Amino acid sequence: MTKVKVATIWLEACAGCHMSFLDIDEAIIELADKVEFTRTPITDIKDFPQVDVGIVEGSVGNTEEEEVLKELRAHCKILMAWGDCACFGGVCAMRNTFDKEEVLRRGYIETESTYKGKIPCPPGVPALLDQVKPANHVVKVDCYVPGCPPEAGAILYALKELLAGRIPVLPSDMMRFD
Amino acid sequence: MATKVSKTIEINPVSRLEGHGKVTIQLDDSGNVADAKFHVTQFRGFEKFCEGRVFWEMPAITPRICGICPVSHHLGAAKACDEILGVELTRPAKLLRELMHMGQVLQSHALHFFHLASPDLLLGMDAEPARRNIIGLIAENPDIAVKGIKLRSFGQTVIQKLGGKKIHPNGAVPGGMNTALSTADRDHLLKQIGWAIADAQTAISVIKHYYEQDNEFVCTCASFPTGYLGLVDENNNLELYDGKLRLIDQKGKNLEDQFNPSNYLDIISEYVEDWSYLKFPFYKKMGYPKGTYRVGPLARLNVSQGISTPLANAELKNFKKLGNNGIVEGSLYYHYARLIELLYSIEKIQQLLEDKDICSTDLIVTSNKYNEQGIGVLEAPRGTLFHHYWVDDTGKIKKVNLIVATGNNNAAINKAVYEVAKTHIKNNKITEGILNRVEVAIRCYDPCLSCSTHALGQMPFNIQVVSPDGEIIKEIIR
Amino acid sequence: MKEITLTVNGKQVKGKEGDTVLEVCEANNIHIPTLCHLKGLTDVGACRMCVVDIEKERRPVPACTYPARDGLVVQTHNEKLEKYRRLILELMFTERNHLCAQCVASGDCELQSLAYEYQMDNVRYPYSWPALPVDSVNDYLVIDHNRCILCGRCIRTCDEIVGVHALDFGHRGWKDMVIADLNQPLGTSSCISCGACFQACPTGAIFSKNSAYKGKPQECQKVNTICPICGIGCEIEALVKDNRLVRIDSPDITGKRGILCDKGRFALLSRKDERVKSALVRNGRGKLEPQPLSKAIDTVANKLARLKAQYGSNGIAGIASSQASTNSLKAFKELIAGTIGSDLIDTLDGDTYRTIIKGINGPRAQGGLDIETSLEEILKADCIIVVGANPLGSHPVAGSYIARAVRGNKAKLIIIDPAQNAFPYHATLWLKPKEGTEQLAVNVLSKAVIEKSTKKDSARTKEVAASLKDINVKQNSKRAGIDSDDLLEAADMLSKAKHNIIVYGEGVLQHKNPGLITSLLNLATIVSSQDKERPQIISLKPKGNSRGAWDIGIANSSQSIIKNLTSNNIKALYLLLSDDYVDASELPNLSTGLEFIVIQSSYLSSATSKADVVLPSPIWTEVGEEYTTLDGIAKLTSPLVKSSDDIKADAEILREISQQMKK
Repeated sequence: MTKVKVATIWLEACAGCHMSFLDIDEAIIELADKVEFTRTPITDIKDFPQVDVGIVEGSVGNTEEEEVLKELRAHCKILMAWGDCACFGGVCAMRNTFDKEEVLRRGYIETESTYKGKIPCPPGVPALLDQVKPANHVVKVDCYVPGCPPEAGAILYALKELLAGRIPVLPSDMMRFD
Repeated sequence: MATKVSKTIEINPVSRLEGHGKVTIQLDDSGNVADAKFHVTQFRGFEKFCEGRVFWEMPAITPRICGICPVSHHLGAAKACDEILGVELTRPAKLLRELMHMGQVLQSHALHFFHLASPDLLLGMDAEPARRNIIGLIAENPDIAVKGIKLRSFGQTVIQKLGGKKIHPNGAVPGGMNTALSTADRDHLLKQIGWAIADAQTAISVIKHYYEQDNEFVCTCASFPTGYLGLVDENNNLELYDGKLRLIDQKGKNLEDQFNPSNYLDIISEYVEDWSYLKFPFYKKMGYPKGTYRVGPLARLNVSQGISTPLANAELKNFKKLGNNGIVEGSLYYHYARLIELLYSIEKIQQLLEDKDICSTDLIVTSNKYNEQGIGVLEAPRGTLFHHYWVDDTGKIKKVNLIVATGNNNAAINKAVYEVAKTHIKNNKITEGILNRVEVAIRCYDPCLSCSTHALGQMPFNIQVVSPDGEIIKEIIR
Repeated sequence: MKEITLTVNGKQVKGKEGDTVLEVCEANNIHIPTLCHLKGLTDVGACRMCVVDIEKERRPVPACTYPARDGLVVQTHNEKLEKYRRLILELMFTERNHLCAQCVASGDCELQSLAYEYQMDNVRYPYSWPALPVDSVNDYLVIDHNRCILCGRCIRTCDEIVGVHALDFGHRGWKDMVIADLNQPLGTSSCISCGACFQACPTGAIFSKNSAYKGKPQECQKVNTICPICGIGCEIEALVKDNRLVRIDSPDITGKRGILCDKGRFALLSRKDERVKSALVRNGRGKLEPQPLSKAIDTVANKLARLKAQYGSNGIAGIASSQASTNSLKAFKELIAGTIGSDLIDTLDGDTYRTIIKGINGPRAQGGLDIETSLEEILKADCIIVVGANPLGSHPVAGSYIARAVRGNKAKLIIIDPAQNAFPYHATLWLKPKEGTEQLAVNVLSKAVIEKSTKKDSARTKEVAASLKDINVKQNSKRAGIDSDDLLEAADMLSKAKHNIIVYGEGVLQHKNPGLITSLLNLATIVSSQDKERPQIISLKPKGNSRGAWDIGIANSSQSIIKNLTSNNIKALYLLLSDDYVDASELPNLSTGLEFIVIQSSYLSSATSKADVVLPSPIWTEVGEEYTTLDGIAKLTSPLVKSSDDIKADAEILREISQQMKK
């Protein structure tokens, strides 16, 4: 049996969704028989292999993240969003009610512990977008597992649905935003 | 394979501390390493966007800084809010806070060792990348993999029992804890202690075995002197939840002793480089970069004279033998220190669960007057964490200052990368294996969010060989 | 009401004429999602979640405002409607900043539950991310406009149920938001912090500082009981987790008597006063030190027995706070008047009792406090006179009944008060007599009413008229400093109204002028509707169980004991404060000439520090006891939490002392 190829990325997020995936505990052993977790698609555009399922955790808040998400989309058949950040914008989007310059100024100039502050900028770091966006406001997303983080059970359910050839839609009783 | 390079090498991404990180290595005219930079390329702005919220929300908002150690932020925020309320927690509330924290230390350290680091150590640093992860480990050494999964799961269960959820839990509130531990849950958790201690000891023997096998690499890999910072109790023993700061220099001499963490601004400043979103904290009295210090397991054991639990304390004595004057420098010894703390966390969980007050329901102290500031400091798995809030008299947040655990290690990580690069790039030649070595050196510090990518698949590396005018003339991809 | 038949989803269902389509569906267990609808409030059709298809209507209509008619054919669920509902939800999430993960209401939010129900796992529309304020100026409540869906439930509750109408919509279009008064912070507005808006809010837009994150409703146990704090006797539903009070709600927020006040709902949760955790006995060095309760009880019993033997029964006095439960007070009476046999027993609010009872029983010799009417009558009134009282402050729920009668029944509200206009936003007329002429003002008003009345000859009126024969409306109103036109207008309102009621409070009682009470009673007698058995008058009593204490006869009938400790040659004092926080300033003579002071109290205060023995009292949430409301209804509370083992019910301790003394 050929394994289903899966690639995951995380963008602007806390890694909690990936951690929650690890909370499936021993079920990961069973999953490893059916799924091949390939490399994560980041920078190497040309050589990036086609995968069956792309998974994105996190929202899109800077130019690099935007680029990475588009690359993943281009190289996967089905794109799944994990967590509130990818599905809705999540906690990262709290900065959208402020001007991004203000946010940077607080972080790198005004903070009380900062000494001789300056604002990091390209090329050393990617530039922030004006607004943090959920994944589906940047590329087409095929299915979603919301939650902060999604419960391990919901993640496992969605993966099993995909393995069974269905596009997962979480039933109401598995829906969680917190 | 050796590759001729000119000027700049980019490794992108290396890790994911708050998202992407990348490494650039600057060469001098003779093709030797002039500088190496570890760039953190993500920024979210918690210090700004929490402004205008009410302080009660902070223990719920800030865990979202990190999904690997959410409890550290949850408790750091709660501690800062306790100060805003100006209340002294009840004893049972303190016990539960610490218990939750120990669950966190256990799960985070287990995750790091078993899921992230052990594949390198057990399968070999040059093993096929596709196998060098937890899934590869399951195939290769299912016994140790399952031990790791179970240990992490135990830590997560402790968190869940106290906070309702494994990740981003809700248990701590300003002034205490919102859920009592049931006697049934206590008894259930106590039953796990035996195997957990045994498994932690297995892990320690694994790391010791590894050190014996590859002693030269271990001793030399990213070994360099710095200061060390960590919380200690009144007897300078290891303390993770609530103690005083101790900062020592590279030789172990006290720079700050029994320092009240609420005065952190007097001793710590953060430097900013425009090429990284992660700031560079340093010891104020020595300046930057001279005042670079390290935090986390290695630093904590360096600043601690003892550990309050017997098994971990015995292991600490062995650890101290590895360094001069008990000060251990090698970055790879972070793994050993981490496992000693993992053992400590399990022993401490047992102690706490056996306390007569652990199931008490006297958990919240309240107040309707708010102090202008609150500072919460604790030892997150990766190092000292500072939460500092200013509020108005209605409880609304005016300002937030955060120094996250990994931030404290930022300069050290850069230094570690530099040290590795220096060893592996000479006269325009890149030694094979530099990718893995850089990755290993960074991973020692377990930069929060380091590599769950790695946990699932291959950590991608990409060295771009860039000509002075910016053209990519050679690309190495793994 | 006429029964009607509708066809809903192909099935015939019955309803009543006048029902909305939503009401008919709900009565027939047909679930239609709603957000802006809250049973008991006027429906406004703001959220559009309840849209249904109705035959012959060109587009979907909101079921909550659509009148049900005989023969109506309704579709509540089909693909198109479900698509609309999901779309509405998504738009709500884009309109403001809804971030469930850290929200205090997550898990207890109607917007979130509907998003789950409609499997809203993504939002297709651009977000607005408006920068909106969080109003945290109120002591207890926070309004976070980021989470507001503009359903208006808070506004309608504040208006229709509370009657205060502090909240309303401000601004227009996409800037529309809930505001207090003329866009002031809630904490500086006319809001009375009753928290009804918080309970009515379907999201986390209005939340309580003191309950935040302390336990989700589904983790809590719900216990229904009566709030004994002010004598209104409101029913409350307490949410309890791990033996800790998390939140207090009304079991029926939009019901007739559903509102609570800041004291009942919030104050307890933020109370920081230090409790008496164990018995304290003054030691040889003059310091109060903790002692086992049984030992302290022995000390008290022995000492009281000795002092009784030495000075006689009346060497010992007992004073109780009327905040104590009836159970506690009965046991207290048994100890002081029974076992010790002292005549010197009183309540701290004894002066008030003596004034009222003298006013009622003096000239007219009527049957004590039973002549007063019930609180419920306020809600039915169409003309209310508030005399010397600030109900919104002292008894906010009673105040709310008045405000609600004004807004809902269009009742006229007349304030008679030299000092303050208790209802600046509600009063129809404020009669402001000169200080000291209150009684005259009331008498002039009575006279004016009698002169207007067509039924001058009723027995009641005649009797009162006789007592007012010397009053001249014009002249005397001038003497009282009241414009005679205002007075006549007031008399006119009282004469035209069908259901008048008089509410008076501390402003009247502080004068200790029984005559004023008599005059008020006279006024009540002549303006009360003929079909009422009793004059429509009610006094707002100072403490939660004042009526209970007075009914069992603890208040001294002739003198204030606390003021006359020395003249009565009292050597020992037993003070039962229970969970009333009483300061030494309220007990001025405490240190003079007393050999022994026992204080039984829940809280440490400057008073307890003067005691020789302090005995711990539980607070009301820790015991199930009887209290009598200010309109005379005995109600039983249920314990919400367990007190620590070192604390026993007041009555139990008092009985033990009695028994010890009898040995």
